Amino acid sequence: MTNPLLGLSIGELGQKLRSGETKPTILARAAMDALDSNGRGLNAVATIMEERGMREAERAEREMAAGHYRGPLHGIPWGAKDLLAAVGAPTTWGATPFRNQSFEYDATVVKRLEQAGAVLVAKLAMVELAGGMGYEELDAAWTGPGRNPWNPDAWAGGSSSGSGAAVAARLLPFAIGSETFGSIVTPASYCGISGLRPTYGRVSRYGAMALSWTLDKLGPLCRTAEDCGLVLNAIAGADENDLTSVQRSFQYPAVHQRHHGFRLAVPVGWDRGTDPEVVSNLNESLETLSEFATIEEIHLPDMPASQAARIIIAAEGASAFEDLIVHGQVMQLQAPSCRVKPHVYATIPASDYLRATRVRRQVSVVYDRITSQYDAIVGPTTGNVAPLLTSTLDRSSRPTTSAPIGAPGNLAGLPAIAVPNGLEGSGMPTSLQFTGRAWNESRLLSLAKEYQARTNHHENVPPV
Amino acid sequence: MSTDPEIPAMASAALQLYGERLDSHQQELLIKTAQQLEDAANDLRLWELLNGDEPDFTFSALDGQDW
Repeated sequence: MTNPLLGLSIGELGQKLRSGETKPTILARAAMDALDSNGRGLNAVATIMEERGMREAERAEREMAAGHYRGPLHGIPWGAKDLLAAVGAPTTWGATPFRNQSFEYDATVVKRLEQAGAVLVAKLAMVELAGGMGYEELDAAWTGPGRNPWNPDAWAGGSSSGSGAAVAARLLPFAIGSETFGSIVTPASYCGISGLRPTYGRVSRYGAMALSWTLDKLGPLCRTAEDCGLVLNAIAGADENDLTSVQRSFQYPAVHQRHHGFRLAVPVGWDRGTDPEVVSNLNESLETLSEFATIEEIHLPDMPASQAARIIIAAEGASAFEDLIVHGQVMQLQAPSCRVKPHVYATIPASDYLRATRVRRQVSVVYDRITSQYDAIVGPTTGNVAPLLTSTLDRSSRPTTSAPIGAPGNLAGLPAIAVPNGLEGSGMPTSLQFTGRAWNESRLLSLAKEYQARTNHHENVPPV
Repeated sequence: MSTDPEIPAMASAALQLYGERLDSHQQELLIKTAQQLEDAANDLRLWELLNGDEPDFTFSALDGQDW
């Protein structure tokens, strides 16, 4: 049983910290103990950062005692996906060849959270190299298979496995994950928590492992949409160390938060290839959404978005890890499939890569037009609940079981938020996803927050 | 194996470069992976692009302040 304080939201914890009911050192200690006692069993932990965590917590405590309050994250413990450089712990990228790697600087996201007063207590486990080598096996990490707090024999999702599991299991109030193609929203869906994939360029990637320079995004995994907004507020913004990061206005909470009058679209055929109970829960969610939004069906264009994403991620990943492939360390990766596939990725012709980026431009233009007409496109985050660890991932060239807007959403760099929308028969969480126009995270957060104000799925606690 | 016309070009290239480190089971997976990438690339080739359709990135010359 973890400390009940860890089950509170960031906002609730902030109130307790300000009132003196608890202290940053108590929270940091509780989180590190919980990660040690429960997180390791879930294979969610890469490194517990005892020294840095306590140092940051003590600093927060001193500042608060002196009346200096940095904001809503001050004194809140958090965990970083183990692809973010952070002084004080190895940064292994989830992969055996990098087990001893460490950096003497902090990623921009780590630095910004430190400036906001948050307390970094752990590096969290992840699928090796963020899944970019095409893993099929669910134990593709040196830390072992990411176990799901709702059922330890099921997968936590990838590639931000530890981030999803630790937040869901109430070991941490929030974590940072990364998404190149589904790696924030999938663990959020499978673990029954809220996960925000920001617009590409909203959050600096400096100090994060590069898998695909043009698709990698960093974002929060939290219990609520409200918490996702608070965390994004601290990490968003341009950074001179990442020229793709952009200074676009984002403020949370927004000055004028909407509560009704939203316009939503549901793609025709969203239920194709989707598990019946996921369909049933989404239909129920649509009824709830109709209380404060209009919902229309739309036909999404048939464009080769997933094919373009596949080529781009494989080619950019092979370039980012060229040394690993050429010199053969790729054979040390955990998943048998990851020891093979990168060799092919390294041979993708430049003409295929460039064609994919030209198609990408068209997909981006078309989806900008579509998303400009709605506050969000709605659908299931994943077409299934967390699979058992004994299964393997289907890597067929035309996936049908993920959200219909997952591929174009990532390819076009669009923001999305996944929130829990119920449990299926065996007690595993299902999830609802809102995808919006670029730079419109505020609108997605308002929508998700309104949905969570009318439901209690985000309050469900896993048994483990 | 690398000249077999049934094997996708990407697999042939990969086998030529790295085949020695892969056993026969791994080589089969490599060929399957190449076929999936080839399928994806073929789908993209069917998508009509005009000469003026540029990639989704723009090169910019540095002027001393950008790096």
